[in-house]
Amino acid sequence: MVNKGMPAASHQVWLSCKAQHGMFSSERAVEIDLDGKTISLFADESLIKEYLGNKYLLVTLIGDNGEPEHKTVLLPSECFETGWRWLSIPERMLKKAA
Amino acid sequence: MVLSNVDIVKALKDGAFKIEGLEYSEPSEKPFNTSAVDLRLGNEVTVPFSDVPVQLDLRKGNIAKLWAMHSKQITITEDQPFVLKQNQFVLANTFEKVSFPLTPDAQCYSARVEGKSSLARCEVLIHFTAPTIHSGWYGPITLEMMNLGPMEFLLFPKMYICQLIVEEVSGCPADAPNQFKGQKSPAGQVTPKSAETRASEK
Repeated sequence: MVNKGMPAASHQVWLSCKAQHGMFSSERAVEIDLDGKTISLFADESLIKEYLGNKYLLVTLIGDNGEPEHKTVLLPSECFETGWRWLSIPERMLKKAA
Repeated sequence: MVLSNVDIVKALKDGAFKIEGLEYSEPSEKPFNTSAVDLRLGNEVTVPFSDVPVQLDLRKGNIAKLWAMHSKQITITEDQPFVLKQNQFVLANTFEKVSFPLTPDAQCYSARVEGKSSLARCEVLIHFTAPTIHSGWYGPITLEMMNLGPMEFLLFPKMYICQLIVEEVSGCPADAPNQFKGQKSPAGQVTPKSAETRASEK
């Protein structure tokens, strides 16, 4: 069976975040600050990049969600605070993945 | 539909999903069962502190940081295995890293991690409550382990610890963003990597 219209690898984007050591050496504890509210999750270290002193998490871009200047992204794992992998993110927090 | 050992090998060779670090030759040999593939224990065991005077409130935020701060990582070796005591809970992860990508115009897969009957007879839980490896996952699989048996149980690196059951995902997990439909390569916004490259070229 073939799926149509799914996010491709090229639909991955970098999401601004904070990251520190997780519960394993190859894992990072990730924090995402959403207008004062912090959500957090664990992610493999390979999904985190540092650029100009800022850290970014690789996520899948899903698309518009009706909220102005926001996009829905799919996180690599569910976050503790919401229990979901879907997240509405201000566009300014996203950078296109290479 | 659960993949057979033969179909798992075929999908691995086709690159439909990846299990990094998996050592195999034939689907009729270890680490395959007829409808699963066994994975090995990594070389770290994480022990959450048991005496933290905190009430967990998931609404407060920074839960990942809290857990990272209140746990101890232990590296295990052949000579120094971890002794899982009676009723002790630890986290561990698999030696292998798995990747179940969200791919366009192709079959997507997900998986479930399950214990092994040999360890179940020893009354060792390998996971509880969260066996699903969703489409889009990349990384090692975290195991929530507990010893319910009457004896201590030794955890060695690279011992076969769990089995992975791979399934086809029917339908689309998500629609593609409109602005990227039909686009083969990214363009437009600055990427961390490309900007970095440009800076180094100056």
